[in-house]
Amino acid sequence: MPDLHHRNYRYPWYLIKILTFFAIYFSTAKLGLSLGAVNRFATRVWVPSGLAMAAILLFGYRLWPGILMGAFLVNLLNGAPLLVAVGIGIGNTLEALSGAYILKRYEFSHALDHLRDVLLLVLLAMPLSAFISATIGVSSLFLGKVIAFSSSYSTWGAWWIGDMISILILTPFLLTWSKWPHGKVPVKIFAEIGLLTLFVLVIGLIVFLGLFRTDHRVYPVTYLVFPPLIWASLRFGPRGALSAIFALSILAVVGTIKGLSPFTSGRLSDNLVLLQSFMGILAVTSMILAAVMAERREFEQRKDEFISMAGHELKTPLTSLQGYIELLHMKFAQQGNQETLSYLAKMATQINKLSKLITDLLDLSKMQAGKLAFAEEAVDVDALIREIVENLQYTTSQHQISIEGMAQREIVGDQERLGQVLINLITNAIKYSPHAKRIIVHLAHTHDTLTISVQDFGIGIPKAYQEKIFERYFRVYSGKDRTYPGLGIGLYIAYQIIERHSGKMWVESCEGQGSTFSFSLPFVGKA
Amino acid sequence: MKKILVVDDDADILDMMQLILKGEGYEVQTSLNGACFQQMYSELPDLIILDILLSGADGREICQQVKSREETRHIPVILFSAHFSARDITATIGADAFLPKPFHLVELINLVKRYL
Repeated sequence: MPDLHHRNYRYPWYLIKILTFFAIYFSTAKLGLSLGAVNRFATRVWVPSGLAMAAILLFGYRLWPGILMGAFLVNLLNGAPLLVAVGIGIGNTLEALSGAYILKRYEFSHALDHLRDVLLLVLLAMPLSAFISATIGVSSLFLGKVIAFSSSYSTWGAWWIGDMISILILTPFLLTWSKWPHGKVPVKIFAEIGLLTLFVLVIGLIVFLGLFRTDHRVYPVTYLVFPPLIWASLRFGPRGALSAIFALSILAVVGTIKGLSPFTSGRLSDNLVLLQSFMGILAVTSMILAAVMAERREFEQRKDEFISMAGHELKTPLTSLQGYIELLHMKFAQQGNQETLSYLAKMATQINKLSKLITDLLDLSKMQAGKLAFAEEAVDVDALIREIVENLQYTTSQHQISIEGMAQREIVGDQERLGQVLINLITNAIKYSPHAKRIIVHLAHTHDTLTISVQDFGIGIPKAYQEKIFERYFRVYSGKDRTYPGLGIGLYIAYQIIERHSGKMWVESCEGQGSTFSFSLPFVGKA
Repeated sequence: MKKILVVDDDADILDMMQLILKGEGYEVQTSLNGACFQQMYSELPDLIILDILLSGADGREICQQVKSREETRHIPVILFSAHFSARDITATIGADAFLPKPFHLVELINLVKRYL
């Protein structure tokens, strides 16, 4: 109920808010006017515009008197006649209100994490609101006979660009920081932020303030700002990109005023226009890059969530199906009904396949989200392999699976996941050697490494595919007579599991003669 | 006769669990949302098999309640879930074992026998 909220609005608090905002607005405006203006009034660095729009977006339209008072007073003190100062004040107030209105109207997200938010700001809110302020302001100056008609155009241009850059850089910078990032920052990320900050500052100092410069020549090395900006945008999203842009902007303005930046060929006010155009393009580029990255991350996350949820929903009916099939199996086994039992066995095999596919998909999505957890337990490899081979032997009547060698020692790892790798390799060996009779599991060890290989005598893998076989979604298409069913994620998952155990996985194969998939794992600590 | 309480929000799975466990000679009580946890004080079960994501009650909370009360602490709890990642919370919430869904009858029966 907004009405009630209005009535209950505590006026002292409201006044304090307005006065605080007025003070900030006034002081930043003073600073801007001191940094070079066209015809005294159209400044090149106009912090208040961006500040005002962010404040209206964050605290509501009711903050407008602060803008009006600030803009009015600063221009009055700058020598504008009373009515002209009122005009400029109105223009600046309308700028913030109209910009904020456009953004709110189109549901602008303060996080700027979608391309549409960036485009909404850059193509609509920024140019339009700055246009209002520049037009009303310059008209006031002209009507108040402060400037001549001939110089209105250049004044208007400087005003428009100055305001736009302020709205472009400062408003989103403040908005993205208006919500403090929640959650703990891992040490690694913290270190990266530190490194990036240092990088941004050093590059800023080199480009705009002539750090490491040995002579008086100014080199056009402005392109150096791209690496840190791209780093910030890709790794830290809109907030990172805007923070980097903000820091660089400050250094750039200071450097240009001191005559040290590459933008120092003409008068200060002209130089600042050139610099601002440069910073504007930089800001738009980085913001778009950061927004697209953020969109992509969000999409990936949604996809992972969807797969995880779908997997769960698929497994629940499977649990019932599998349970009831096994119950039926028990019942018919007691009656000795062999025909029905063979049907049920087929159903059970299919259910198992389905269940394995779903588990693989879930593992894959968790792996990509970095959420696959691994246990660290002592694994008796010999017992594990024996058990798996025994179980898989039931699934094939054609192949004889044999074990050669012993591990003799335990390794540290996730028993379930390592079992999954072995099952995957042996099932593949069965699947891809339809005419062979043997599958051999070899175990070999040195003092610090255990190597396990699964050898089949089947179709083999063409040389060209051997390197790609561990890639996600990769499948060998034989093209000629048949293809083999599967999603192409089993080996990828196996490879990742072994990698997470600090091991290695590789394949040796000869087309038509068979393949040997091997992996090695370190014996950790225990001797 | 040993009593087992099974909590799952899927009625078909509850029926199935009842069939399997009764066939093994256990007395089985089922609940769709763990509501009967409150009533079980009159007659404590010897084992609880608990799904983690229930609509309504949270299986984790039920497990923690069981394990935090003096009179129920000794009852073994087997978590079962279609989320394999639930395995990782088994120890943190004090459960005794984890059974991923879907499972084979033998796996379930062996696990139950280990605790009863």
